[in-house]
Amino acid sequence: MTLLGLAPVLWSALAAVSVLLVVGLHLLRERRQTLTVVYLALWEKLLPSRAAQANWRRLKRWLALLLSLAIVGSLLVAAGDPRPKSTTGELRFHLVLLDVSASMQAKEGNSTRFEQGKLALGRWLKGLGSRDRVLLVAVAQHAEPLGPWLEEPSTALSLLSTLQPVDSPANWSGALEFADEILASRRGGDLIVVSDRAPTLDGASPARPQPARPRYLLPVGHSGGNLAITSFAARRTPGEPLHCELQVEVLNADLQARRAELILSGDAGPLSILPLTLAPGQQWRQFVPDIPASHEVLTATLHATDGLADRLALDDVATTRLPERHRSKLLLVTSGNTYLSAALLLDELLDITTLAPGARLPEGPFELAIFDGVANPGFVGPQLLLAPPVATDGFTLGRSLTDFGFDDVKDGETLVRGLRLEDVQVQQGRALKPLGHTTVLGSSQQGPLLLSGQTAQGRFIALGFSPQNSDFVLRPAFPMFVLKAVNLLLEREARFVSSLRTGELQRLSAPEGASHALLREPSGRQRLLPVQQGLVQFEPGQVGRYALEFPGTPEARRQLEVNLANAEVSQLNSDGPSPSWPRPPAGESHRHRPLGWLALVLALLLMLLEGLALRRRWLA
Amino acid sequence: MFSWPFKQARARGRAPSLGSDAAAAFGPGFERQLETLVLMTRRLASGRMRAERRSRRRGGGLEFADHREYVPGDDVRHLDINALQRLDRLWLRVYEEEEDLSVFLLIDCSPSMWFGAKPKIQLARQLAAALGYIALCQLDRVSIVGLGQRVLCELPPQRGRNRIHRLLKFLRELPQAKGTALSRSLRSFATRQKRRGLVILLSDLYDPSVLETGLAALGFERFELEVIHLVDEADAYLTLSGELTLVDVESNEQRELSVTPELERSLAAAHGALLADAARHCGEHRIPYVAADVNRPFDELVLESLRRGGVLSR
Repeated sequence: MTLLGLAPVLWSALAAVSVLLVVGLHLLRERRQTLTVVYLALWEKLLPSRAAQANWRRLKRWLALLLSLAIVGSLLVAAGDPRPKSTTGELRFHLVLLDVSASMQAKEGNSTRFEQGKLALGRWLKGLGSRDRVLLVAVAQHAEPLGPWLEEPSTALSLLSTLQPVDSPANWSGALEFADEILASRRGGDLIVVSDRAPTLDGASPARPQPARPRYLLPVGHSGGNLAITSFAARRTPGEPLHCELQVEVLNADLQARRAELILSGDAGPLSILPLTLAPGQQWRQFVPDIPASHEVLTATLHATDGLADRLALDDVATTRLPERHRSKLLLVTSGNTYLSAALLLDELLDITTLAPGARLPEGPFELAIFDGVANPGFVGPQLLLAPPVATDGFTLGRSLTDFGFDDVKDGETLVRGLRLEDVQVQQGRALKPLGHTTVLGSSQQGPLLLSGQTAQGRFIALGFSPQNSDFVLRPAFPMFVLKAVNLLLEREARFVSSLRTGELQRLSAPEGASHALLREPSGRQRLLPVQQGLVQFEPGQVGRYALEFPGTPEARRQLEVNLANAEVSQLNSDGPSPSWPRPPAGESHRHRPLGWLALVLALLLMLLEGLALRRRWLA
Repeated sequence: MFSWPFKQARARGRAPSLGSDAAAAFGPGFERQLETLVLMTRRLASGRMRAERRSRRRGGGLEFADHREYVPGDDVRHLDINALQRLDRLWLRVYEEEEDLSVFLLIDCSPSMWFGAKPKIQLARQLAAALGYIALCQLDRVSIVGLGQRVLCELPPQRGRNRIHRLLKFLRELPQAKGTALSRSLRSFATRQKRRGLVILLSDLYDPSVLETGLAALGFERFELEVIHLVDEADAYLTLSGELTLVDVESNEQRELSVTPELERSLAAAHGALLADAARHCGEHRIPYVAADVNRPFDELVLESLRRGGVLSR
């Protein structure tokens, strides 16, 4: 006989305490109380014969105690849930892959998919017999065994009780490989998957051919009913460091049209509220420009406004952090241009090295070079060429020009937008003839003056005249032109930077001298990560804000925003049993009526009898 | 704690009015109402001293009783002049002699009188004090006797209102008996008492033989009897349930029983039957009987119950 309810040790302790308690309470109840009465003769007439009363009373006492012990015994048998122990037959091994991924947090009525899965698994475990052995494996980004092979279903149930889902998507490929390896050495093993989806290897193709091994699915949940933010990214507006742009993507994973409200917030509060009407399955994408770049963290929050359910809360909020601006090394080759130097000083993130024409190029990587009336002596990288004296791969020099201006400026180009180059008057310069894919951004009637393109040396912007030979340097547009050109050539802040996603391996560069990093998770847990080859790597499993510190280095704490941002997870698709993934059969003990239930019914009947006896004072 | 009835009455807001010793001892107001009451007797008194109670003797009282013929030696001041003039014969006017009455207040001091949240002995003391005061005001001779397994203590006859202090002191110091044999102590009292008079028994009557033998012995010795039965309904209620060991407060005898609702109902009925039996027995023997409930206000007991029961009158 084996106990499927409580563990044997716990059951024994409970039995001992219960019996002692019942006997103690019985003795207390049977303890006579002394009552002084004023006139005993008044009672004498009412009392039956002493001998008969004493015998009957003694019998009733024993009956009351036996009844109480029978009730406690029945309840203990019910709690222990004993099953006959088989002594013959081979052991059966069941490897249970329990999905603890983010989609299991979806609401299903009053509970979640994960809770439903645990309940279904608990019911299945209770049906197992003594020849069954179970290995519980939690599956998210990795497959993690919860313990060794277990014989007692009660132990497996207690392991399940402490398990919680994570925010990562499930990696079924890895989990199935893991299961194969484990079951390879077990005869008679089968695979039980508790999940909302039938496992697939890569999310698109059905599961790869498995060894001839039974596999089953305990399905949970149903599809649809979710609104999600599947992408949220930010970047500084190119050429406009004081503004940023947001890119947001919202998915309606419901089977009907939904109305929702998207709230974009900065550090100080809401920035924009966008009402949305989304068709079934629609993936809505929007760029939101002109957001002040003063916000460090930007948040997108999605609310359903139609009163219908939004079953997964994890993907309703996404945060992103504007990319930090870093310092850039700039080489300025000029014979002296105060206007240009002054304009460059406006960008505090530039480390400027000034070089006289003809001087030798200094060592060290420069991210950008400006040649002011000087030919490139061999620099490879982005370049701003002012009044270039020689041709390059991107253009050739045209005829000399005097007293001219911009007659045609290309609309919509970031570099020239808002500069009003048409007002600039130039005394002297040269036309530039574009070659290959070089773009003309501005030109006079006599020829192109402003070019942008790419050569083997790198990206370039070329201006056909020296600003000092024009009134351009006297205009506020000149420093703006210089700074825009620098930003465009450096390509800094030009990319949308998304937040990190759960379940993706992150490799981050560590500062020099760092041997380890301290990672603080959104839950408050701290982990010490090694730094290898200048990189620290980790895999975020929770949605929220992570903080990374490098003790012993001057670098300040690095903060990282992690979102779910996974359209596949947010779809909340749910699979039912299929021919390839049928429902698991009930355990052997289901073929017998459990003794625990009979004991529970008996306990209830006995309690009813005792209640009646107390009410009628049969045993009083 | 024992408190005197007069003080109880004063506590109810009655205005002080007496300047006498009695007033100082008992409190004002209530004792004035007591002074208007008299102890009822069915027989004429045969006392020793002049008092305010009618007696069998003819003498110098104020109440005219009869005429008789003059014999030499009679006091000529009592000759009826009108009869002499009309009949021409010497007739004497005979007046009723007013004498005192011996009042015996017998108080049951058995442990059952001390039992309970409201001990009956307290009411017994109050009633005895009130009855004693009434008797003293009538210039009767008042004795108080404490009864237990025997006659425990006795206050010699007191006469006159100013003896109330001794009476109260005696009541205050009444001892508790260790057991009870009320019938035997009543017989003992009856046989050794030479003077006859009014006996007022204050008892809870938790002695099965007192009605049959004790009261009969007093009657046989020609005492005039009145019974004040001290009753407490709480005696018939159980404060505990389940398995009990009952201990008699007087005999310390023990019995075991299990309390059931039927038993509780039977007990109340038995207690009621006990009271009815006492009332019936006294009625059959023409003994004035008053059931004094400890839960009733004392002034109601004295002014209504005792009057209605024939113990007191105005």
